[in-house]
Amino acid sequence: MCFAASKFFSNNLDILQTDHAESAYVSSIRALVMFLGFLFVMSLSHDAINREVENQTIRFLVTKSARSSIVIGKFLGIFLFWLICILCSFIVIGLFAKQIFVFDFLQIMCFIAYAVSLTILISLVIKKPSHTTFASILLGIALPVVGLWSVISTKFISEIIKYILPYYYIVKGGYYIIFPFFLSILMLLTALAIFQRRDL
Amino acid sequence: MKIIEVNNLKKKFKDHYVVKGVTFDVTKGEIFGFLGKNGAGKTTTMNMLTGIILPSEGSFTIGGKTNQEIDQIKRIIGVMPDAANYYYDFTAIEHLIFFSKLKNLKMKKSDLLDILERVGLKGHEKKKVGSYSFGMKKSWELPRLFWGSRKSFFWMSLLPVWIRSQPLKFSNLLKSCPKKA
Ligand SMILES: Nc1ncnc2c1ncn2[C@@H]1O[C@H](COP(=O)(O)OP(=O)(O)O)[C@@H](O)[C@H]1O
Ligand SMILES: [Mg+2]
Repeated sequence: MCFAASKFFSNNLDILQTDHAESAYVSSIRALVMFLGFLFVMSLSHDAINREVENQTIRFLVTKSARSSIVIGKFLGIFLFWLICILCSFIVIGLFAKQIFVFDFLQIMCFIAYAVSLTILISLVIKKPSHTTFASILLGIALPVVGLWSVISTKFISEIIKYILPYYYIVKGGYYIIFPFFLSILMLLTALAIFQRRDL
Repeated sequence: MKIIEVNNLKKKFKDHYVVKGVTFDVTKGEIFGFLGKNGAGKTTTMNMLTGIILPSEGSFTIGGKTNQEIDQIKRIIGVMPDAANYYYDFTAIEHLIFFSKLKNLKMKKSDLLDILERVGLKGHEKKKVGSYSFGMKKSWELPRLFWGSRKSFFWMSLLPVWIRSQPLKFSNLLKSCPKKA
């Protein structure tokens, strides 16, 4: 699906092109992830934790493994799912272009890591799965809009937002891509701290 | 030797104390019944001892580990929590595989099937738990408790239901359970 969509984008959009030469397919996948990444990740996994707390199945986990393992396990499960999806599309693209796009792959994975950590954090902070269903759609649409606006705008508030959201770092490219990954770790640590204190 | 020691354990929800200072201990080999009328705070106490909720005040040790070292306690206890649901998309055998992996127990699939057979779930191991009857759901819960425990285990309030519905199988299982339990 990623590949089909990237084909669509490569024919219709030439957004977010960076300086170095790269496949049109790659920049299309990146555009796809930047516009729809939050929506995909969040709508699929918004209830990763709160559903298990509501159903009390979390009690099977928390009586057997460390709370930190549960949060990290949730992160890895969701992250690896997307890693495999995107890796597959990069392999297909790599075969066509006869080139390996390592940097672009890492860049997208840093963005995905950010989205997954945020999803887990929201699934902890908002206790009702029905509320996170709504929140995931709302944020999935709002975050890319606000994020890209903050990169372009010169308003004071956008100066703050652009450092919090991953878009600025992706547009900047280069070593900036590590920042969304750091922010992801930060959110995951916050989620851990909240989960450690939570009655289940 | 004391396997469980509970010292003045308290739990409050909002500003209301539900468990108001429980103190008791259990010696190794002892079978300990924890009784009280409805709403007395039994489940709340058990939830604190098994890491489901956090104590407001007081402390406990299990197998020499304090409540600060709850992750180490989890390795030596077997718990059948008072949970309202299961992973309904999982079959009985999938549950057992999942839980044994969670506890790092090296169990062969044939061992797990043997356990299911012993509680009378032979032939149902590949059915999704969502389609089980109430008694059947409790049946596959019980074996997990036994092999999950090395030093001590907790039966939450589900046990009476199980004994009532399957008295014979229960006594068979008790006979086959390790002596140290
Ligand atoms: N999460 C909670 N929030 C508020 N009150 C609770 C909570 N859990 C239990 N209680 C209250 O604590 C009391 C003891 O409950 P519980 O430990 O389940 O009793 P028992 O298991 O002995 O019947 C009850 O009055 C119950 O309403
Ligand atoms: Mg109770």
